[in-house]
Amino acid sequence: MNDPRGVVFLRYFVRHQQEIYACILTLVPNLHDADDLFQEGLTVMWHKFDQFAPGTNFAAWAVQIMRYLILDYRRRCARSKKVQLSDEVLDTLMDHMPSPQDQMAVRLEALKDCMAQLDERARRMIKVRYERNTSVADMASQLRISVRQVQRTLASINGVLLRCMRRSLAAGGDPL
Amino acid sequence: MSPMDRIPDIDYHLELLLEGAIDPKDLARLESAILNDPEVRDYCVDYLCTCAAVRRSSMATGELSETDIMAAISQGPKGGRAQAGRPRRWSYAAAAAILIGLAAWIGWSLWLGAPTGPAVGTLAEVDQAVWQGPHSHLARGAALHSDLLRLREGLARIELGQGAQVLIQAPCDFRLDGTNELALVSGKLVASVGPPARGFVVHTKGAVLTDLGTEFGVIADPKGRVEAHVFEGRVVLAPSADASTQAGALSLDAGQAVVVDPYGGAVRAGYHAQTGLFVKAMPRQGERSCPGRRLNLADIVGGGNGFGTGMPGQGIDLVTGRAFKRPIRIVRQAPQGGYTPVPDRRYIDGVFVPNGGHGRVVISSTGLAFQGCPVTLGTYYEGVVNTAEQTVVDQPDTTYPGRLRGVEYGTPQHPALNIHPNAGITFDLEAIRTDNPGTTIERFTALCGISESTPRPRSSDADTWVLVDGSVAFHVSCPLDQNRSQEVTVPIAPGARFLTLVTTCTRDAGHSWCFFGDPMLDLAVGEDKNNSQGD
Repeated sequence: MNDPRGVVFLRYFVRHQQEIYACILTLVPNLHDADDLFQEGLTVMWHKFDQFAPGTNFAAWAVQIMRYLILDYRRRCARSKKVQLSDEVLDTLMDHMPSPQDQMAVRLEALKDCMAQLDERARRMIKVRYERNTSVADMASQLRISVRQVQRTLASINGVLLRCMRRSLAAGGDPL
Repeated sequence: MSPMDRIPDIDYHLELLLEGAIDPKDLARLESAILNDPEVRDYCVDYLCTCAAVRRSSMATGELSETDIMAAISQGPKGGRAQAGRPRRWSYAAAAAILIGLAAWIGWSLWLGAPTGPAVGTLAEVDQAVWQGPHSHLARGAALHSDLLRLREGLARIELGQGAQVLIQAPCDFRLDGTNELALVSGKLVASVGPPARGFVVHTKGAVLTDLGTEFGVIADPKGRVEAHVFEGRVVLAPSADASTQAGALSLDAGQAVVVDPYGGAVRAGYHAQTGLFVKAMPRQGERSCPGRRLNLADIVGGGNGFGTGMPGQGIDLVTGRAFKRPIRIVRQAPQGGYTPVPDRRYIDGVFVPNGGHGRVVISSTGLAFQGCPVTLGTYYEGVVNTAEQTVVDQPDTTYPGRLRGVEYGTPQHPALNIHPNAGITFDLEAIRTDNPGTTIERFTALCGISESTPRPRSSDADTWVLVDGSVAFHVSCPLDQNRSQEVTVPIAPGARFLTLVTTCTRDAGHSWCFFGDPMLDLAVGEDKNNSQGD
C-alpha cells in the first residue's frame, strides 16, 4: 500500500480495533453478527476518514459510527421479530457505557482473576459456550439438561463474574 | 435494595435478552427499570460489558487481520462499502466453526485434557527435531495448540488448520495464533500457502506479513530485525503497528525481498529473494547437516544455506568470484595477488589464490592478511567446489570419487569441500550468525587430507591451513609420498568474524586433490532471555 492516508488509517484501526470490537460485542452478542458489523464499520470508517480530526480520540469517533450501525442492525433484526430492547433503552445504556479506552483492557485483566475463582464446572460451561461457540441448544442436548437450565446456569455464572469484577474494579485490582 | 431485589432473576432475564429469547412481559419490566432506576441501569451495563469481556477473552472472537483491513480500504475512499473482505471473513468463520465443532464433539468429555484450547494445526513431519520446554515430547502427527513452541534442532513441517504449510528451521521460537496465523518470535521459516489459506499471517516483532497466495520465507530476531523473501505470488508487509514506526506497508512480488531494521523499523527494499537461504523441503535421507546443530560449509559453496539446499558439483572460481558448475579441466594462473569478493554467496566473504611470493596475502574484505603464507606458483585448478570428485585434464569423461580412510565423501552423509591447491576461501561467520538467530558457532570440524583415490601421483607436497580472523589455527603438511589425513577441530570464539580455509603447494600442484570431508560448523543454541518470554 503506497497511499499514506491508508497507512495512517491502518495504524489507527489496528491500534483501536479491540476497543471498537468490544463496543459491538456489548450490544450484539451474536459473534457472527458482531464480526459482520465490525467489517461493515471498518468500511464506513474508511469512507468517512476525511472527517476524522487527527489528534482527537479515534476510538470514540469509531464508536459513534458503530452506534449508528448497531441501531441499523437492530432495525433489520426487528423485521425478523427478534425480541430486543427499544431504541430508547438502548440509547440510555449506550450513554452510560464506559469509554472505550477504559473498558476492555481493565475488564479483561479483572476477568482473568475472577475466572480463576470459578469452579471447574463453571469454567467448562464458559469455555464451551463462548470459546467453542456451542449454542445453548447443543449444550443442553449434550449435557442432557433443558435449555432453560443451561441458560440459568450461564446467567448465574455471568452474575458471579459480574459481581466479582465489580468488587475487583472498585478495589482497583485484586478481586476481594 | 439491590437491582436483584428490584428485579428477581435479573441475571437470567439479561441472559435471555442476549439470547434473543426474553419474554416480552419480562422485557417490558426490565426496560422500565432501566429507564427509571439508575442502579438497575448500571447493573445492566455492567452485565453486558462482563459478557462482552467473556466473549472477547475467548478464542472464538477475533480481530481483523491487516489483510482484511487493507482489502476493505483498497476499494478507495469513495468506493462505497467494500464487500471483498466479507466472504473471506465468513469462510474463516466457517472453517473455525468446523474446527470448533469438531473439538466440541471430540472434547466434550475431554475438557480437562485440552488445557490450551482447540488444536489449530498438526505437526506433519520432522527431521532430527529437538524441542525445548513442555513440548519436548512432540512427535510427528501431534496436534498443535496456541502455545509457544521452541524448536532447538532440526526441521519441522507444520500444517495449519486452514491448510498453510510451514517449514520451521531450528532454532526457532514460534506460536500458532490460530488456524491461519503464526507469531514468529525468533528464527526462520518458509510458508507455502494455497488458495484455501490465502490471508495467512506471520506476526513478528518488527513487521506483520500477510500472504496473498504464495510461498515466502521469513527470518526474524527477537530485537525486531525481519527479512522477508517472496518466492511466488505476493505478500503484504506492514511494519509494526507501533506508532513510532514511520515506514508504510508495501507489497512484495515474487523475487523480491526486504529487510526491516530493528528499533526504528525502517524498511529497506529492493533486494532479490534468496531461495538458498531457506530450507524449503525436508532433507534427503541421511543428511548430515542439521539446523541448530551442524552447518555444512560445502553446501554453502554449492549455493545453499548450509543445510543441504546447495547444488553438488557447484563451485566458486577463485579469480572471478563467480559460481560455476563442474567440470572445468583447466589449470589457470592467477593474476598477481588480489582478493575477490563473492557477492552471490551471502556467507562467503571472498576467495583468493594464495601466493606468499607476491607480498601480502589478503584473506578478507576487511584487509586481514595470511602472515607466513608460503610462496606458490600462483596457479589453481577449478577453485573451491561442493564435491570430493576428482577430474583429470585429459580424461573428459571420467571422474574419481574422493576417499579418506576408506570412506567415500561427497555424499549427503559425508559432504566434502574440494579445495585443490592453490586455493583459499573465507567464510563470513557473522553473516551466518545473523541468519540463524539464537545460534552460536562453537567450532569448525572436518577430516582433511588428499584423496586416497587420486588417479595419478602428485607432483608436490601440499599444505592445508585453517585461519580464524587471520591467525593460523590449524596447519598440516602432506608430504609427496604420503596421502595423509587429519582431523580438524578449531574452536570459534563468539566474536570471531572470518574462517579461512587454504591449501598450498610450493611446486606444481598437479593431482594434489586436497579436500575437507564433513566440513562442519558445530552450532549451539544459546538461551536468549528475550526469547523465553514469547513475543
